[in-house]
Amino acid sequence: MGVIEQLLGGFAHALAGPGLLIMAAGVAWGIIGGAIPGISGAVAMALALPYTFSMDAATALVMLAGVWAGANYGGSIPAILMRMPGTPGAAAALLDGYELTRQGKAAKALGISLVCGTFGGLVSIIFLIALVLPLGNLVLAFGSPEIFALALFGLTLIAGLSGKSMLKGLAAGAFGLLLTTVGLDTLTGSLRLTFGRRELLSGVDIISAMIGLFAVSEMFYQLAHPARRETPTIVDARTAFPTLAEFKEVWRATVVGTIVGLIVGVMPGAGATASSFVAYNEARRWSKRPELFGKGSMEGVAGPETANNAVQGGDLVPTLAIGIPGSNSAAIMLAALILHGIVPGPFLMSQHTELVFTLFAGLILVNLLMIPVGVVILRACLLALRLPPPSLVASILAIIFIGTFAADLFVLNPILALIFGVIGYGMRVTGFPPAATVLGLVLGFMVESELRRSLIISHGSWAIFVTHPISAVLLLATLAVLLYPVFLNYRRRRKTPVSPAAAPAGS
Amino acid sequence: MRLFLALVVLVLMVTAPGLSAPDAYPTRPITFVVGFAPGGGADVFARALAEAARGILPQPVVVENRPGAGGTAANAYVSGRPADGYTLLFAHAGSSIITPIIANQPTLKWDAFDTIARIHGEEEWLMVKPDAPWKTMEELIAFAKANPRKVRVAGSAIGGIDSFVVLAWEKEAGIDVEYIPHEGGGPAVLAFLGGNAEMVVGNMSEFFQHFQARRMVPFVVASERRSPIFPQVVTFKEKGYDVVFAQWRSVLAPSGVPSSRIATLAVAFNRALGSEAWKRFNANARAVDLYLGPADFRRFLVNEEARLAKIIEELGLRSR
Repeated sequence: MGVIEQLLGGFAHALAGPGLLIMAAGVAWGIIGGAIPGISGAVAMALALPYTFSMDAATALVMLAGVWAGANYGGSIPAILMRMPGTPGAAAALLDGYELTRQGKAAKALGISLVCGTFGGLVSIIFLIALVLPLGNLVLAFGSPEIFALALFGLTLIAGLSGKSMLKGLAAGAFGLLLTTVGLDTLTGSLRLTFGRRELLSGVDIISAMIGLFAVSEMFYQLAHPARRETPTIVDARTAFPTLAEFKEVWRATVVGTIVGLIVGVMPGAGATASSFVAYNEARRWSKRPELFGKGSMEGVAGPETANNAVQGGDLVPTLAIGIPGSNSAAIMLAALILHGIVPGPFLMSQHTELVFTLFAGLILVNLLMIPVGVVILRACLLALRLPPPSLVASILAIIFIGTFAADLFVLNPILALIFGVIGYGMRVTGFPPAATVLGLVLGFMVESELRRSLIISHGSWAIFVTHPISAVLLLATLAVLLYPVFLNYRRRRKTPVSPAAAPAGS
Repeated sequence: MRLFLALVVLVLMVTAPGLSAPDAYPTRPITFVVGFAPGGGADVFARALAEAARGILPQPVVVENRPGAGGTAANAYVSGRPADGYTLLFAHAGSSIITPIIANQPTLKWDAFDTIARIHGEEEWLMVKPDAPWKTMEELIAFAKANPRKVRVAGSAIGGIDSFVVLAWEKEAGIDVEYIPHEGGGPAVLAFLGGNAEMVVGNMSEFFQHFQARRMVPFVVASERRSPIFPQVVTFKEKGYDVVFAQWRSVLAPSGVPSSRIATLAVAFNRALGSEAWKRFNANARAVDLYLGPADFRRFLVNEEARLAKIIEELGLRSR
């Protein structure tokens, strides 16, 4: 039986009985859960898991796939509307998304996020179906040195987030990296910088820090700068769906985001958050109008939003081909399988072909369902912007403190959000970019643990990063990205005619 | 009149919980906190146990992952939860004895909690590639002695029982291998399959599918006796190395849970082990039931801690 026939069988199975309704419910819960800070995609899936016990394994998987896809989008709603990432994966989209909201284009930004995200999700599933068997073993090529090189590549984004002063950008990024050293070190079992606080054993809570740096600091900023408080022009939800002309504007970013999401998704351990930041940077690099980034670029929303949805297909490659989850969300899918008595592993595809193809069909269907379900929820969320500013600020702060507390039930986390709000405000006033700190927070753990692990693997030799071809290519790309502006600068200086007065000083 | 009604409602609200105790437990879902990422051995065990307890307890047991800190992030979290029997803690030797001793965190050690039950256990295996150059333990030891740190063993974080097997083996055999710690069993298997380690240490539940796919073969098991799963594979013990560890898994609770609730839970988990779902899971996981009730489990832990603490001291792992 060919792949197409198996896929058609999968569609029939996925749509049987209340299938469509269950998928839609999954997507809706995913979007809502993702929009609540503290409920990440994996948590939303874990909360839905008990409801899948009574279903057959295929229906359970398809519903969880819906939650997963929905949460990828849901996290962007508060990110775009309130500068508050609902999931860590939505942090990159707020950089331009919130600027668009301030320009009265909230509906458009949410629409772009929805449509481009759906596109990324669909392409990644097709990619998964076509390549899961041959690519399954490719996953094994991504070991510690390769993931370290990717993370290092991601850190070059600091340059793009720095604004006027590169030095301040690097300082802010280093602060983020420093924060990730807090907690119990898995490589030696020793405690670092926990100050006797049990809450810090597993490190600084990343979502509390993100929300503090972005959302709480924005609240402070609005309090201090009344000009920033003005209500955005009335947003018409009917304009959400992007027009053909707008599609043309963002197609480059969408393609770039899809490719980044696919590659990062396949790498074990590197997830939606890392991919969205890398995609943000790449979208700018390939953009015709890079100067708009940070000031409300549609592409700045499309790139990361496509990427964090395209991660889904890549994450499932190791999950289905080897039985080792590519992310926490993929792990919940495996847990659902195990609870239905199916042992995941290298034989899943051959022993449970029908189940796997039902999952494939379901993944396509839930990504399509994202559009109608997403539009309904998007319209409801836009109503929030009609609140008078004081009520809006109060509601946002309430959501922030409840959300950060509910995530771990640590009182320390809302306090952290507040502290990071103060730090973020101070950084913005003094010109240090908080986004660079968030990037350091996202990548710091990966950079450090994979670097140290690589050096254990290589018996202490740094050559491992160049003898592994994928790592070498990524490091070369990193170097190229860093040196290209220097080269451009040099060429520009050579080309500009030297004025007689400046010549002696310049040479 | 209105004030009176309000008072009646208030009094009812305050006294109602007292009226319904102790038989009405549990009346809401029980959270089972696991200190490891979803998909690993600990997580799979917890979910299977939760599923097996379904129908035996009137409320579902919901698994919650709080990975980090060698599993002890979950200990810290659970120790701060109310001792009402609605938050339970997954515990094994690594998370409840070894890491708390190494990190000098007595408040995270097992004796800061109430014991509910020991559930089951898995043997600790060392796996090699099917084309590994050494066929016997003697060949491997000779190679490792001639090439210090050349043999790389992938496993979970330092402080877990996986790392202990390797550290104890190094000391017993007088060899020096390179242990590569990972955030869990899954990433360790990936590193091994990807060629970044010569051996991988852990449980058969994470290995068996890859053994069937001919990507790894068992080399040695850290048990007292040979395992019924692979009777042809040697033990450390018979080769003269005192390396005996098992990955037992158990349930703890915040200290101070009413004894009637502890009894309810222990009885329920014991009955859960008889369910078809659990038996199938245990067979799939290549694990054995090791049930011990609250008091027996506590006695077991006293001995286990003494034994492990001695090894930790000998290996010089305790920090500060």
